[in-house]
Parts: sequence; C-alpha cells; structure tokens
Amino acid sequence: MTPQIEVENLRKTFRIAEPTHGTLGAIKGLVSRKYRTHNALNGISFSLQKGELVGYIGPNGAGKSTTVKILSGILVPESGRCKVMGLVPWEDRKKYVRKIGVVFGQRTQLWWDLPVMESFELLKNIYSIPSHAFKVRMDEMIHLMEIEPLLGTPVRQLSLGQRMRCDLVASLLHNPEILFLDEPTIGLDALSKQSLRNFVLRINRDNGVTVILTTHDMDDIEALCQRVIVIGGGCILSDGTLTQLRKRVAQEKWMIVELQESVDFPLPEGSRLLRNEGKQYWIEFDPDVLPVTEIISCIASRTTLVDILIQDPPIEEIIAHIYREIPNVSQ
Amino acid sequence: MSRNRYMVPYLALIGARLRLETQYRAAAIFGMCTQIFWGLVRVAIFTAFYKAGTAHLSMTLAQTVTYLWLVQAFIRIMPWNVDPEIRAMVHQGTVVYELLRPVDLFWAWYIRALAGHSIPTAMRSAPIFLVASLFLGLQLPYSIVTGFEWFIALILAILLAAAITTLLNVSLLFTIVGDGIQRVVPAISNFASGMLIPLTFLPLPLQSFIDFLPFRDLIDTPVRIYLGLTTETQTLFLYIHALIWIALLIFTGRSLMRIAVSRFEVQGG
Repeated sequence: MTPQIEVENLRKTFRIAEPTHGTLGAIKGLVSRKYRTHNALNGISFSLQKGELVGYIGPNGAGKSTTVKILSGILVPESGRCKVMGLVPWEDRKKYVRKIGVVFGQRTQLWWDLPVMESFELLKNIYSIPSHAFKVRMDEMIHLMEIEPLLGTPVRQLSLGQRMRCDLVASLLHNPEILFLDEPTIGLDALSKQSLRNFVLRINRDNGVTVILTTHDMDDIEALCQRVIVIGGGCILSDGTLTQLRKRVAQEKWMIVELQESVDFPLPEGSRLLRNEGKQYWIEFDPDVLPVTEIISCIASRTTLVDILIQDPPIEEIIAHIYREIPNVSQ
Repeated sequence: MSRNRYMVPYLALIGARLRLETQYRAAAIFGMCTQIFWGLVRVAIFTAFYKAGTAHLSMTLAQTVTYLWLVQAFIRIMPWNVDPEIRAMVHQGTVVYELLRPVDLFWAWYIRALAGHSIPTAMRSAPIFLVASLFLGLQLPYSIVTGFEWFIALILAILLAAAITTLLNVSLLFTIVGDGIQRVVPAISNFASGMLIPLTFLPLPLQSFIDFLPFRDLIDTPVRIYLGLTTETQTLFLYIHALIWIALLIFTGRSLMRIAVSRFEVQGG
C-alpha cells in the first residue's frame, strides 16, 4: 500500500530581522537591517499510512507547526518532496484543502461575530457540501460533541473549551481524509480535553480519518497516539511507538514504595532515590541489572513495606530526556 | 463542476458580509445623518461662492448642488481603508485559515471588497438620495439615457473601488501593519476623485494629471454622466478608462498576492 502522506527531506528556513538595541539601534535599523536565517526544518522525512493517528511532538520552536503548515499547503518549503494523497499541497492547494481539515488550537476558523451555526452554514457553502450530506454530518457531530446549545451563540461569547469543540466540528464538516490538529488541547480544562480526545479517537477509528496531532500535553499522546514522531532543532529525533520510544531512551523503571515510617535505607547498586515525600519514596532502577526483589529486601531489612508500585517512568520524563539531547543546530 | 456551483463559495462570502453589515444599524443611521449634515455645509459654502459672483464657472449652481449631494449619497464607494477584518487576520495570523479554503484567495478577497463597497453603498445611498432630491436640491438625471449610463458608471466605480481596496489588503501581507498606506491612499483618493472639490473646478494642468489617475472614476465620472455633461463618445471613453484601470489593478493585486503567498511566513504557535 502506498503511504497516504510522504515527506522527504523537507527544508524550510525563515529570514528574521535581527532586533537592534536602543534608540540609536532603532534608527540604524531604518537604514540597514541585519537578517539571520533560522532553519525551521532541516531535512524531515517520514511517511504515514491511511488511518494512522500520529503524535508529532517537540519543544517550542522545534518545527512542529511549520511541518503542519507545509503539509496543509499554507507554507512553501525551500526544498524537499511532499506528496499527500497524490497531491503536492502547496501546488494543488485548492484541490488539496478540500480533502483535509485543520485546527490550530490558538486560532479560530469561525467567524467571530456570527453565531456558530452561521459559520457552519458558510463553510457548507464554501466547501460546496450537498445539503443532505451536511445535515447528516451535522446531526452526528452535534450529538457527539454536545454543541447543540451553542449553535445560536456568537463565537466571541464561547468559552475556550466550547470554541474548540465547535472548531473541531467545523474542520470536519467537509468530511476530510486527513485531520491536522495543532495543539488542540492548549488551555483546556481536564473535562474538555477528555471529550476532545474521545472525539478524535472516534473519528479516527470509525471514519478512518488520518490524524496528525501536535501537542505539549503528554496525556494527549498517551491517550491517543499509536505512533510518536519527536522533532527537535528541525530534525526528526525519534519515530515509533511509545514503547519503542521508552526503550530507546531508557530501560529504567520506577518503583514507588510506601513505608510504615520514614527512615533512611541503603539502596543497592544500580538504583537511585528520585524523590521522597513523607513515607513515599520514588526509586529508579534498571530491571535488567537489578532484580526487584533485591531492592525490596534492602528496604524490608529496615522497616515494613505498606505499598509498592512498579511502573514505567512518565512519558514527560522520557520526552524531556530526548529534548535535552537535541543538538543546537538551528543557527 | 457547473459554473453555478463554482460561484457558491464566493456568494457565501457576500452573504457573510451582508449579515455583518446589517448588525450595525445604529452606525448606518448616524452615518447617514453625518453625511446629510456635511452635505448642507458644503452646499452652503459653494452657494456663497456663486453668490459672490466669481466669473465663469463650468457648472451652474444647480448642477454643483446636485454634484455635492451625489457625493454625499455615494460616499461609501470610496476606498478609504483596508478591510479591518483582514488587517486583524494578518496581524493575528488567522489569515492562514484563508489559505485552507478551497477558493482562490485573491478572488475571495476581491468579492469580499466588492460586498464591502456595494452593500453599504446601497444601504446608505437610497435614503440620502431620496431626502436630498425631495428637499435639498438634488436634481434627477439629465435624461433617461444618462440615468442609465450613470448606473453603469456606478457599477464600474464599485468594481474599481473593490480593486483598490483589495490591492490595499494585499499590501498588508507585505507590511503587516499598513498604517502608512492607510493614510496616504485616502488622502489622494479624496482629492483626485472629486469628493472634496468637483474636479472641473481644479486648475487645468492639474486636471489633466488627475484625469489620468483611476480615482476620478469613483465619483467624478458617474456624476458628470448623471448631469449630462459628457457626450456619448466621452462617456464611452470614460468607461474604457475605468475598465483599463480595473484590469490593471486586479492584475497587480493578483501578482502581488501570488508573490505574498509563495513567501508566506507565519510566526509562532
């Protein structure tokens, strides 16, 4: 099966005017301006199959949004190849954008002063969606996203969570094959995040929509993504499943123990104490080197164990670990 | 895809504009009052000039009064401003969504400008026209034929105004803030369109320069035709003058838009 999205060696640089300092600098800046180039993308390659749900993560300024903007036909890359559903996004823009939906978490695509429903109607006309298909789709999504009571409200009066739900519906009205979500959960409360995630999972699973999601929220990744691409400094640092990502960085596991009383205890070689809060202790160890029983017996020799939990380190730790290793190649 | 279906997205944009425009009823009513007030002031000034008996003026007082009221009635044709919404979109970066729509961005913006000029013009002109023709000395068109010719000139004026506005909007993609252009263009167009002083009263050398510019086709040309001051050949020539400028401005706007889109940069998040 040929991949739905193929990206090969994508590069993009931006020219940024060097800020000058002070009043004198500002005047000098009027005459001649210095520019520096920022390599947003340094040769990105990956491919995606139809129906995948991929997390695209990286620190601020890593090139996540730039990739999404190139893939959605907004930005033109400097060099590299990009084929999505057989089209080159920025060349066949008009034809291409009919097949994709995009949500930028920080920007709304709805008409600020108009009631939500009127925005939807406008989009219906702009995408020339047949009335029947539109109605079926609306009924389905209104039900799923519980936005029925919001339809008559002007967008400016919606809360962020409500607006995001409406934005997501708006991006799916024309039944796109690929959905790009650029930080969709930014600034949302726990409940809104949850309902958004459920919705994204459903349209991915039930409608087979390919989803590319950028986020800083690792819970999003854990809840949604089968595959994670980590980008930093304009390069892909890792591409694979969450489990593979974990393995790549560290074999370590975390043991969280609760003791009867807080005491000092010696830890065997190959483990270390991460944190201690009252009677709770976080211990990191490598199970390949050090059997669990050895740590337990060490602790048990000093006091009574009340509770014990062994788990993978949280995904945040893994990601932070990868981010720290990013070479500074952006200049 | 049939032609009709092809037009639907663009018509939807006009619909959006109409809905926005009709939201601000108070602004429309007070705007109209302002225009009538200024009309009265300007009529008073020109009447004083005529009473002072300054030699040969190229229009009669009645014609001048009609000229002034037509300016007031159709003032919303004037391309004074970039579209504040587009300005905000460029500033905030939501302009990227415009590129996510399956429409040609230039034509979408042109249609938007067209709606932005024609809808307010239609809404404001009718009441002022009515009041001024009943009570304030606005004459009817010189003849039925010139009335018809005037209407065509008005349509051309709106097409031209939309082309100028769209060009201003496109320029935002290069300057981001666009304050400079926003101040210069209205100043020139107010003067060179005949909005401040009927063009026929300007010194001859200046007139021939202004005749070359597109701005006179916004106000002066329709009014001249309305008053029956042009021969049929002259009318035809004026139409062609407007059409050439419309084509030129659209061509420039489209080319600039193409350049802008190919070097688009969206900053942050």
